[in-house]
Amino acid sequence: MDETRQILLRVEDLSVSFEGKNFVQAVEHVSLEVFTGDRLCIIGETGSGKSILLLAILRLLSPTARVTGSVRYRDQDLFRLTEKQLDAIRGSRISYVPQGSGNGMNPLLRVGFQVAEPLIAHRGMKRKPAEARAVELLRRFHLGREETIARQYPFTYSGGMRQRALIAMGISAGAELLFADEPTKGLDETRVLLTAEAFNALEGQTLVCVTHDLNFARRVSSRVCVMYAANQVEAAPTEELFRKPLHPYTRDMLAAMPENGLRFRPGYAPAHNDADTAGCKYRLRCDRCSEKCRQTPPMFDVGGHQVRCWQYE
Amino acid sequence: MSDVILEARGLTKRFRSREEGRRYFTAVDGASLSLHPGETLGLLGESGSGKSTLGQMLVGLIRPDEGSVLYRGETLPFPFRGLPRQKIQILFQHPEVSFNPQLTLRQSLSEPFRLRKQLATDEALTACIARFGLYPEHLERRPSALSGGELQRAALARVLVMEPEVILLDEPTSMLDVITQAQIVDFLRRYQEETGTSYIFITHSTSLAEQVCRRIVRVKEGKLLDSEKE
Repeated sequence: MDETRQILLRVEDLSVSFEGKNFVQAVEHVSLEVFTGDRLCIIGETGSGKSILLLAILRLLSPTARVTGSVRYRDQDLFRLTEKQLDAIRGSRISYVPQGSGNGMNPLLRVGFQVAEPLIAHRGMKRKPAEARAVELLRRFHLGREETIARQYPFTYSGGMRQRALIAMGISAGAELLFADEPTKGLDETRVLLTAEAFNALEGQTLVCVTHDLNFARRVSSRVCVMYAANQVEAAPTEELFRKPLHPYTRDMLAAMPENGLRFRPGYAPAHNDADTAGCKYRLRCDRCSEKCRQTPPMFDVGGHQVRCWQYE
Repeated sequence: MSDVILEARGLTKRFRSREEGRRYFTAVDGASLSLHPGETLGLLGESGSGKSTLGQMLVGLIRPDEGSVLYRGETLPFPFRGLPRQKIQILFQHPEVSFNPQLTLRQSLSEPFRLRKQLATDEALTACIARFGLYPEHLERRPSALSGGELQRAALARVLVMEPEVILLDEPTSMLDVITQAQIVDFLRRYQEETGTSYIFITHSTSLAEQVCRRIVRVKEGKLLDSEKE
């Protein structure tokens, strides 16, 4: 590993649950390390807890969520900072591209200004040069007629355009750590490629990206973490994970890609409050399941390739 | 397959343009196609190509400026009423906006039962969602407490209560993970074999269209480019 790389973010034993009428265990004991320059993609099915994990790290969850564990960003414990201290980091040093093109923007402000806003708020730029820079950023995502559309309001944009404008907003202040939640959701193949190119062209920025698009993850990431039913089940360098997946769930996910023939194993993830699935959460769907799988497997480390499965080979 | 269940004849739709110097923008330009019973017809194109507008005219959500939609040989007036309205259904791309956010899943799923003058009993509702891997506990939740995959499966369950003959699937899996996508595609395939339901499958993914559709029509700038048969 490159000696000059520093650890930027360390997530330790992070769990999130929502209590109330329906108890939901959304994230269970997740640990992650992100080094400067890393491009980490978190993949997994909807409802597996990937987005909640991002929100929990950034302390953006509602007060009804019970969050345990710790998150260190450089030498600061994010869970111990005051809101004011956290505000100095969020947006300036860590930025976040939310999921869903529909509600990530202020409908009453022109898009160009919204993309320029982080530059004005966090980098002390004047409005005019910041807005000129916003046009350049929009151009990077090939929105077309950028000068004109920067002066328009979000409602005049298509979903895909808003999605790309949101990413432009996320990268505009040049925060060193960029969180993106499903940045390609709903984009067509050409635009997914353009987004991947734009991410790959980011310099000096570390990326943590939640996605369900495996081809996109393969294009942009250096490392992939796989989540299933609130648990982290595998983590490995991207090419290794795609070439030689160790967890049965990851294998099944790759087999279900259209280019691999849409093959899948029957069954669904257990309900979030299902007490019957103590042990490995995938065991009810897994063809390799044995008696041992009733116990929760630890995270095994196979030469830098981590897998939470008793039966890995 | 000689008979045609749904047919488009010269459908055209123009929208007012926001660009200077251009009053109108033609989203769909004279599209004609026919859908046979029990087949899956793919409409493949990039975003902005007009495929969704065409789809929405086919199921009566948008009034065409020119052309007509025929159901079993009869021209449908806009809006569709009566039987065609029941028998032609749509599954949207965004499951999170397919449901009223204020209603629980139980309330949303009871609606089609009411339309068909049936009782939405516990057994009926549970049976309706069980084949999609949803549990009775899900019935009491509002859309905000369900994942995208769960909502899309629930949306499909709701569509099927109407026992449709044609379902427009507008990018039904583009928001979903690959396994949920494969499960939904497999379910649709088996349902089609059982019931002979026809699908219009709108997608931007060539690999998915090739796996799912018997016939693919490519859409570009509002025009149908070709139709190919396997």
